[in-house]
Parts: sequence; C-alpha cells; structure tokens
Amino acid sequence: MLITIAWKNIWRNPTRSLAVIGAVALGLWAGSYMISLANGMNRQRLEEQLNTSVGHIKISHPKFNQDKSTEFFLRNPDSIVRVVSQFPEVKAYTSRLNCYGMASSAAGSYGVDIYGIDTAQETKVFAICQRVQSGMFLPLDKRNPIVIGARLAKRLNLKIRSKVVLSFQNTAGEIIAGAFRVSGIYALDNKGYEESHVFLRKSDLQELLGLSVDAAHQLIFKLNDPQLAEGLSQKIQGDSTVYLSESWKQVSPELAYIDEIMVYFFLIFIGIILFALSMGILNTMLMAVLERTRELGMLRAIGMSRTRVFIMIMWETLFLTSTGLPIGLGLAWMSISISHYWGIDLSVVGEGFEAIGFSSFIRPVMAPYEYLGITVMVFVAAFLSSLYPAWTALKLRPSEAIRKI
Amino acid sequence: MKTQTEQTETNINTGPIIQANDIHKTYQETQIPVKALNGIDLQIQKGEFTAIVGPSGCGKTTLLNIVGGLDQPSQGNVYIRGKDITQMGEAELSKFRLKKIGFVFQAYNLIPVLTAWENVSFIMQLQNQSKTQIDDRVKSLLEEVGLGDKLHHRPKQLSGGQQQRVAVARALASKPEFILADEPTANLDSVSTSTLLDIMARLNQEERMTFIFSTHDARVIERARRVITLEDGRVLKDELLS
Repeated sequence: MLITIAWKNIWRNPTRSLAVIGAVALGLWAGSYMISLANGMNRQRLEEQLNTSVGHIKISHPKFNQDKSTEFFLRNPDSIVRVVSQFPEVKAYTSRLNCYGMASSAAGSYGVDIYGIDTAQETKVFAICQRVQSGMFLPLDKRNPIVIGARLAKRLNLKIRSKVVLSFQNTAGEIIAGAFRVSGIYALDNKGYEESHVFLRKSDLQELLGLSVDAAHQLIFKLNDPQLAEGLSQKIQGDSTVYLSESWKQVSPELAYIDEIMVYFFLIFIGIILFALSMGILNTMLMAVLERTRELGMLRAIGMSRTRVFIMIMWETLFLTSTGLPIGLGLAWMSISISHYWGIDLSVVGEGFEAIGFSSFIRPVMAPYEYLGITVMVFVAAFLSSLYPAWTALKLRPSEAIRKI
Repeated sequence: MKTQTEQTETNINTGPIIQANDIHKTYQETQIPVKALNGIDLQIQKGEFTAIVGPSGCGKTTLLNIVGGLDQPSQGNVYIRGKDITQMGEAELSKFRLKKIGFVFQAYNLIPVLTAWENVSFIMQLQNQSKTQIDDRVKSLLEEVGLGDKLHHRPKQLSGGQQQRVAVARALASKPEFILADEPTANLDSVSTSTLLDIMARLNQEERMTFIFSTHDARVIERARRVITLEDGRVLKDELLS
C-alpha cells in the first residue's frame, strides 16, 4: 500500500515530477555519454600504445633498463621463449635489439630509439608494419633499409629512398655509424613516438652492435588479454635474476595511471551530476512534504508509525529518481552504440589530440559495470536526497500538522 | 469472591473508556506561557454521544488532542481502558491510536490520490488485516455511511459532506474504542450536517460506538446526549441531556 501511495503521490504534480524525471534522464544521458567519450579515447590510446610500441609483457636483462647499455642483452632468449610460450595466455612474441642513437640527414640530426626487429615475428605482436603510409616495411631484398616515423621524416626532410646515417654505441663501447635508406614511413596517432622511433632489420643492427645472432635486448610477448599481463609477468619472473619480466603497466606506468585516473574521473564526473540532481530532487521532495503537512499530520494521527512515513517518503524519492534512470541510461546506451558504430571524427582538432597520443577518431564506449555503477550511484543519491525531506516529515507534530492550512 | 486482577479486568471492561485526571496544559512556545487547560477531570463511558463546547480558545481541541494521544499534558494523566497513555512512548502511542482511537477532522483530511475505498482500507492495511477482512468491512462501512455507489470516487469527485462520511467510515474501519471528532460539521452545509449526524447517531445507538465531538455547532449540540462546556481551560458545566 505504501508503494502504491508513494507512486500516486509523485503524480500529484505531474509537471514538477516530469521536470525532475527529465532532469535526471538528461543528466545521466549527458554524463554517461561524456564518460563513454573519455573511455573511448583512453581505450583507443591504450590499445594503440600496446599494439604499436609497448606490448603486453617485456623481458630484458635486469640492468638494461637502467641506462639502455647495449652490453646488457639476453644471452639465451630462445630458452626463455620456450618456457614462456607454454603459458596458455601467451599468443605471440618478438625479440628485439634496441639502442639509443642519433639519426642524421643533410637537414639535421635527431636523437632516436633504434629497434632491430624480425619482421615475421614483429607483425604477430605489433601493428607498426600496418601503419606504413608510404614505402615498404623493411623489405628483405634491399640493403640496410630503415623505417621511420612521418614526424621524423618531416624534421630531417627525409623521403622514401633518402639516406639517413645512424650513429650509436656498440657493445664494446665504441661509437659506430651506419648508413641506411628509408624504405618506409609510418604514421601513428602518437606523434611523439613517430618522431623518435626507427626500425631496422635485426640482422643489420646485430652486426653493427657486434652481437651474436641469437642475442636480444627485449622479448615482447602478446597475450590473449592485456589485463592478464600483471599476474603472468610475476609468474614468469619467479625467482629468476637472469632476466627482468615487466607487464605493460610497469613498462609504461602512465598508461596504467590513465586507466586508474579514468575510474576517479568517472566517479567525480557522475558524482557532480548526481549532486546537482540530488539538490533538485531534495528541493522537489521537500516541497512535496511541506505541501502535504496536513495530510502527513493526519497519517501520524491515525496511527501510521514514523518508520512507515519515512519509508513512504523514501519510496517517493526512489520513484522520482529511478523513473529517470532507465530513460537516461537507455538514451545513453542508444547514442553510445550508434556513435560507437559510426565513430566520431574530430580531425578538425586532430593535431592537438595526436600531440598527446590520442586518436582524433573516437569510438565512445561504456562497459556494463559502468552502467551498473551509475545505477548504484543514482540509488545512493536518491537515498541521501530523501533523508532531509523524510526527516522534515518525521518531526511534524500531528496535533499541529493536521491544522496546517 | 473476585481476585484483585479479576476486579481490575472487570473495571477495565465496565469502567469508563476515558478517564482524565487533573489535566493541565501550558504552551511555552512564546516568552509568555499560555495555559490552555487548567485542571480538567473527565470520564467518558462506553456508548456516550458527547459534545465538548465552549468559546474559541477555551481548550476544546487541546483536550481532544490530549485524550487522543496526539499531545501530552503538562500535568495529569489520561487513562484509556485503564491504560495511562501519558506514560507511553511515541511508537507505542502511535500503535495505540491505530488500534483504539478513530479520528474525524474538520477538514476531512482524506488522501486525495486515493479513492474512497482506498482511503478507508488504508488504515486496515496499516493494522495488517487480511485482504478478505478488508474487502468485506470497507464495503459494508461505505454502504453504512451511504456511499456504496461511490467506492471508487476520489475525494475531489465527492462533496464536502460525502468526504466527511468517508472520514467517518475510515475512523470506524479500525474498530476503535471511541471516535474523536474535532468540529466535524464546521465545513458542511445543513443537509450534509444532518446526514452526517444521523449516521453518527445511528452508529452510536446500534453499535454503541462512543463519539466525542468538539463543536460550536448548535445542530451537533442539539443531538448530543451529554454536553461538557469549557471555559478558560476548565469544565464550566457538564450536563446530561435526555
């Protein structure tokens, strides 16, 4: 009966109730959509970085990370690969040589991160080969090919077949130089990466560094699910001191931080919206209670307990809020699904996005647990905003309230 | 020979429904205390049809509120069937009102979003009565007050007199010991007043339902069988009429 009365009560003033329900629906729709945009941007950035530069798990010499000295390489990478590949979570791997160096052309010089890679293995782990916008990705039939980013090509005024000289330190500590020809130019959303990362054939770099054929500075593993990386990395590490196993969260902590920050962003953003909505709900419910002082006085007089009055006000608030909830979330789900399918092209301001590593083409996305999170937060907000009106109703003295005009 | 407990139970069942002893009520809401009741003693027996009358501010409503457990006296005790309601806590008093006292208010105070049937059944649902009990009783009560054809009308669709009759049916629904009616005819025309008083008188005579009114209305006073006149918070006269 209390539920029936509560439901009927919210329709005493339909305009007022519809305004609140509309505000809740619109607020949740707008909030959810904003979150889905931020999610989409962040997830695309994460996927892009994992697929083009970071990978899921990296194994290297324990001292290699300290100063990236080429002398700290893995001596037996094949045996590590054999062990790690037995884990069912592992999908593919690639082994890389890596050093810092200077890329020079007639137009200038620029510090770069040089990778020696095996093209066949690399394509299974990284998508960089598919991002070549002109030329080819390290063809086997060319001598000393190099793939550079579009930003570096622009900086050093390089084109396909342009000559570029790389200078770096070999394992003996000597500075050596090698001449390469640009075979391909790649483009990524992350312009900073584009400017500072170049790719050579592993065999070419290995020769210049003076390393054996099977040596590797890094083993990068791709898993079925990047979220499994942390646990698996710990398993791989075990007690070993021969190598250092790191998950993508350790290799690139800023990516992990953004993931965590997004959770707080989500909570704060929806929290602010719900706070504003709660004030509206509280005001509406308070008006509803004060308008019904005499009636509430009558209910108390005829013997309705304080608890029941409290529950009735709670139900009214809950109905007022929860009617807007499915409408808001329904609209959000529809608009997110549509814009996820078609994507949102922000290329007008794309340069700004790409400078900070985000794609200018966004596919908004929101996970089911986020819809659930919003639902829980809405119910909590409804409960909190019903407390003051309910308390106001409870402190009415029936003998006075029944006489209120 | 009866034991002391048996004697008490006999007194509870045969003695007065309401016994108020030396009731004082002072309102302290402003700097100057206002004495509303100044030592009232009152006994109401089962089946009485009593009007409490007097000029405005004489304490009629305050007395009704205290007897109905809606307000606490500053001094004195009120016994309903031998139970001192002035010693009850808020929750206990609330339950007590629900089970023992029926209220009829001047402004009807029906719930506007509910139908006549729902307004009456609501109080029985608060008492956790079964659906069958509720259905049977609500129908017969509304028929008894002449609203058998308006079960599903909302208060807005009823006249003032009809609304007050729904209020009487609601007051009766919980099978109370007595009904307190505060100026029940104040907002009614003469025809509605007469109909309402006829219904109340019939309930009083046929079912021995005890009614206590506070009123200014001469038409109510005419029908009352006992008239208690208050003045300045005291009982000025207490007359039994034939």
